[in-house]
Amino acid sequence: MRSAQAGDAAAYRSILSSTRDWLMRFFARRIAEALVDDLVQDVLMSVHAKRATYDPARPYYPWLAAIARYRWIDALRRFRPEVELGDYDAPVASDEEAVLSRLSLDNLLAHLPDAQTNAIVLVKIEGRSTIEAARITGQSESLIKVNVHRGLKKLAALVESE
Amino acid sequence: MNMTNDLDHLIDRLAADATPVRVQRDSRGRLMLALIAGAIFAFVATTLGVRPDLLNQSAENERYLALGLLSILALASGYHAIRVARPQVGAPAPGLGWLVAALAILPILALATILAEPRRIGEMAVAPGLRCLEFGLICGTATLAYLAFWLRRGATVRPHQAAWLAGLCGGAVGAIGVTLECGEPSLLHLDIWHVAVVPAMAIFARFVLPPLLRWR
Repeated sequence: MRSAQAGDAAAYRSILSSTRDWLMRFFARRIAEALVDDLVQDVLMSVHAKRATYDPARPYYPWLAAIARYRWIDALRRFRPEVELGDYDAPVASDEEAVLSRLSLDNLLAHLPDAQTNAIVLVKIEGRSTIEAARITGQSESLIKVNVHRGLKKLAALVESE
Repeated sequence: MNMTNDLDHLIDRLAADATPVRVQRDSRGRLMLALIAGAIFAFVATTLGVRPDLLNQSAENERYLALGLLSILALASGYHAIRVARPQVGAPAPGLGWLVAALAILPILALATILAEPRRIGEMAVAPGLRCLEFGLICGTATLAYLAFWLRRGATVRPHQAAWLAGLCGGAVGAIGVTLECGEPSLLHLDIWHVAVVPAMAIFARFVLPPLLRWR
């Protein structure tokens, strides 16, 4: 990355390719599979825009991981399942990556109340509509929205405080 | 497959735009911060003058203690505020909460004194107190503004904590500035009104800065 900061295009392409591979693995465990590529694209652009903030005296991947987590919370906030996911590309429950994704996220979401966790998992990870989530959980639609909002806020605070 | 190609194209495009960048080094930020704080203190000293008892070392010990606590808080919060502009994992400012708690001893002592000696409440008069609070906030503004600029140029992943840190630093610098020049003899005045600059600026920063520090 030091060479990339100095303007070496070949070194930059190489580190971005490694970064892409690392991000694919990182997000595969943290967000619905259908959203991984878009998120990787967003983070690559952030890395480019903010590459001056990387300190060459320090390891690269902790810096990248911090950006990736920051953008991950952003992506969860922005994700609108009704618009972005159709039935054809919803995550499949038996898919190994989806299971890993759920497990990892469940670990992080363990810090939230159950109602908020359920709302986030159903709406933001599984891509269900608020109507479906309300039916499954027995919460009202407005409560689902409130729980998603509050849960993401707590999640962001949790990530910020780590 | 298409998305893989999209990512490859994106990488090619970004690599083609690999212009040299100037690394945002913490040392440069800290140097600038020190220069700004120094300029504020120099401005206060040359235009309004420093309390004579501070200069000839005849002031009360508590006054030096307050200046010491404020200086350490300014150094620690400024150090971490500069650092937190870089994306990183791990606690951003370990121990800073204890430092703030140590500073809080001053107003707690003042309130305890008032409870024990209610006749001294006049020493915390509002009019001169507000004047010092206002002057302290003005003194701290340049520091806060610089930190906001630094953080915006950077890529903080903790906008709320960065805002707190910047506010604490600006407030501590402002409180030092006003403590250097304020001629009020009462330590109760210092403990309440000068120290109040710190939480006032920190709370202001906490609510104003985070939206400015978010980036994509």
